[in-house]
Amino acid sequence: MRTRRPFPVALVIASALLWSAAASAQERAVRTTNFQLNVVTSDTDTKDSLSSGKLKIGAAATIPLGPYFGASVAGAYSDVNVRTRDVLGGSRNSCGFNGTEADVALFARRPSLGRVGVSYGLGRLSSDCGTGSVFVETGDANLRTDHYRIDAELYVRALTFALARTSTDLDGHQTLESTDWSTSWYPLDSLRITAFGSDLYDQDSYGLRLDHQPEFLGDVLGVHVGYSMTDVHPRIRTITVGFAYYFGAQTSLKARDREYR
Amino acid sequence: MLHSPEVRCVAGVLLISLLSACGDGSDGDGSMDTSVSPRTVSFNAASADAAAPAAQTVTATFGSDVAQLSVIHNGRAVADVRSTLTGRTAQITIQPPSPASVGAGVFDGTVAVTGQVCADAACSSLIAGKTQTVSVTYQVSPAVGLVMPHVATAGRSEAVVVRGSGFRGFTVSGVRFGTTPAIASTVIGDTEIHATYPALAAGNQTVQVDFGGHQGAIASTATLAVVEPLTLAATTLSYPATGSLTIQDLLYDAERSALLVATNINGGSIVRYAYADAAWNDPSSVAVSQLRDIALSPSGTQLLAVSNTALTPLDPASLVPGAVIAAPSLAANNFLKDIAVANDDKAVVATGTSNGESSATKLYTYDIRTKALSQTSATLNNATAAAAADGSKIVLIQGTAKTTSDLAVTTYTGSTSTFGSAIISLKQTSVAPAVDRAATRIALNGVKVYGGDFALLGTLPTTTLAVAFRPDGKRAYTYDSAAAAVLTFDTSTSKKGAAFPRIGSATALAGNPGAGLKMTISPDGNTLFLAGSTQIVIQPTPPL
Repeated sequence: MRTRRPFPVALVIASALLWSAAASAQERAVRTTNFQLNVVTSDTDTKDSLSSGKLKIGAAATIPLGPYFGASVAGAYSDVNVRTRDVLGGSRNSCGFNGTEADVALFARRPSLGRVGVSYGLGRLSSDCGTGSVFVETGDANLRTDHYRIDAELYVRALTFALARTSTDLDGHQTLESTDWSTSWYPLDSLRITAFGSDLYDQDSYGLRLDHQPEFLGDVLGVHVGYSMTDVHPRIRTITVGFAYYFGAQTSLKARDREYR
Repeated sequence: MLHSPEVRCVAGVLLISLLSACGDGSDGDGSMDTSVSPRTVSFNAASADAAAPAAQTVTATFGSDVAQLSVIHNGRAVADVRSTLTGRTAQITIQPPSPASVGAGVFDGTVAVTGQVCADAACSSLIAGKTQTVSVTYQVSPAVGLVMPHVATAGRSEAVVVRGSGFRGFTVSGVRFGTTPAIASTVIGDTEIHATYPALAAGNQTVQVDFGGHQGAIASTATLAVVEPLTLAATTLSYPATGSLTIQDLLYDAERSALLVATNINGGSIVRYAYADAAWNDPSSVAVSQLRDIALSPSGTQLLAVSNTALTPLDPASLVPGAVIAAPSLAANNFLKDIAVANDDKAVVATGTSNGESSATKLYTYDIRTKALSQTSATLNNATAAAAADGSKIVLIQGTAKTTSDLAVTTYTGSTSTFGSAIISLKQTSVAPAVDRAATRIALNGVKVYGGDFALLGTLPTTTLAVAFRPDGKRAYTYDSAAAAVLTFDTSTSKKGAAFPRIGSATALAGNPGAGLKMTISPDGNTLFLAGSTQIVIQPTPPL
């Protein structure tokens, strides 16, 4: 829908990574194959409109592809319950969405420098909001999506700067282009504080997220909380709480982010 | 750590990010917007029996970022919504429920239209954008259907039953007969009001019920025909044929001052005698093959005739027959025997066995409005029916000469359209049952008189051949075989099963009606009509 130019940035970072990888072959993009399970709940409230609760369950696997590259596959199912009482009061129709998504990614990484990657994903959204509710692109209760993403991360000491460009096709009718950015800081190896933002729909949304992977739980369980909002009308606020369980590697959060996934 | 370069860097990035993100909270380019027009929709239905109002459409216009349009609704005013998309507009069709499913009243509903947008870059889920609502109101009006009895006597205050629909959906503020308000009214249920009119002048009066909170006029098809009381001279009327005649029934159409007699003339005929200009006109007649019984519809607009296998509605004045309605699944050797009407605008049609066998046969109901003759689950043994003039109750007594034991007396209640068994059992005789105007007095077999609850109030002589009650139930008139005259009994108070006291002397008739006697009384209580195999006798009621 809208076209921006983040790709040159990604290309620069990619070139730098490949150069660095060639220079330090002893570092690996992914130390070992590892897996994770995620459960995320979120609550979204749109001012003067509807609010909703969401539960998302996902799984991901990351595998090394030689010393410089890695790949990941991920899948998730989400269920959104729209709180219609916000506008209809007492008895009302129910309204909800469920979605499935799958994503494959290929990336190159130099753990001491950063990462670049590309990914492709497919998704399907279904609505259950009564006979009058339809997806604009399809005219019915289902929407297929597919998206391409190119992303880059830069590791600077305890900081990670990330930028991603996503192009999403909505059932062959409309394409969304958006850029996401984030800056993460690791004050401790088990704690990550991330500021993030997006320009989806040409409106600024931004938020803050805290990830913690406590050592006393064996470095296999992570928890995160997040808050984000948009600054246009209607204002949308989202609170997120999530858990992740890791298989295949017991390591700190910072190392997991930069050497395993 | 707080003074490390990383902290300063993070703080700087966050500050820059937040500053760049903090907009003015404006509407942006409006591409997430959703607007709906109109914002209010109203539906109206004339009655709970009416068809559902046509659906109405509102138009939703939404911005380019909207991925999904959620149209949800609540409230009893909305049954369903549908959307049809054209580009960035949607025609949202709002369908109200059928009036019958909600009943009378005013109902509210809301339709909420929300433009949902993608929650993230991959559009893995949706979040709500702007919501617009449409307020829906739905008024299902009450309707006044009929009044029974539909004939009133001018200058006399009496009670009637008003039937319709939706009387509980609004607050009843009054009942009017034309412009004259009722002097009392009681809402019995959603379909029934009992009202008492004051003395009215002659003429047709539309019965209106006023409801608080209702917008607009209330439809009424109930007309009370107020007629002057008639004082008819004692006389006899001849049949248009001679020979061995059988009289199935007779009734007096007070609205049109006409006597209707069901006979076996020419294999079945209805003979009508009109009274006009102080004289009885020559009779007119219509052939109804194998005629068994007749009854006027509750509104008096149809004459219902049952023959062996069918029901025929006729015009009560011209006797022009309408479409014949065959009784479904009528067994061989069974026939439609008797008909009586109730104030639910239905008639009960009893059947009999043509060979006089004592056995249970089917019972039908006829819906006068829909013209549907339907078999019920009940069966009765050659039942004979009699109805109260206000249609509140039909009494059916069973049995034939071959019946060896008493059978339960059955009732049909107009308020609930249900059959029930009375607390008594009898085997019917040849004397037809009789019921007063409001079913406060019920005479069975010409001897026993019961109250509305079937408590035995008193008895009449065993020589009774026919009975008619004065409309108020306080007098019983019998044709007595021993006296060959009309006797009058005071039935105003219960005698706890003892004989009712006879009052006055026997009233000799203007002629001998003959065998197979049937008797009825005018709604004003002034005249008795007796029909037998020989002739019809008109007899003013004794002034007692």
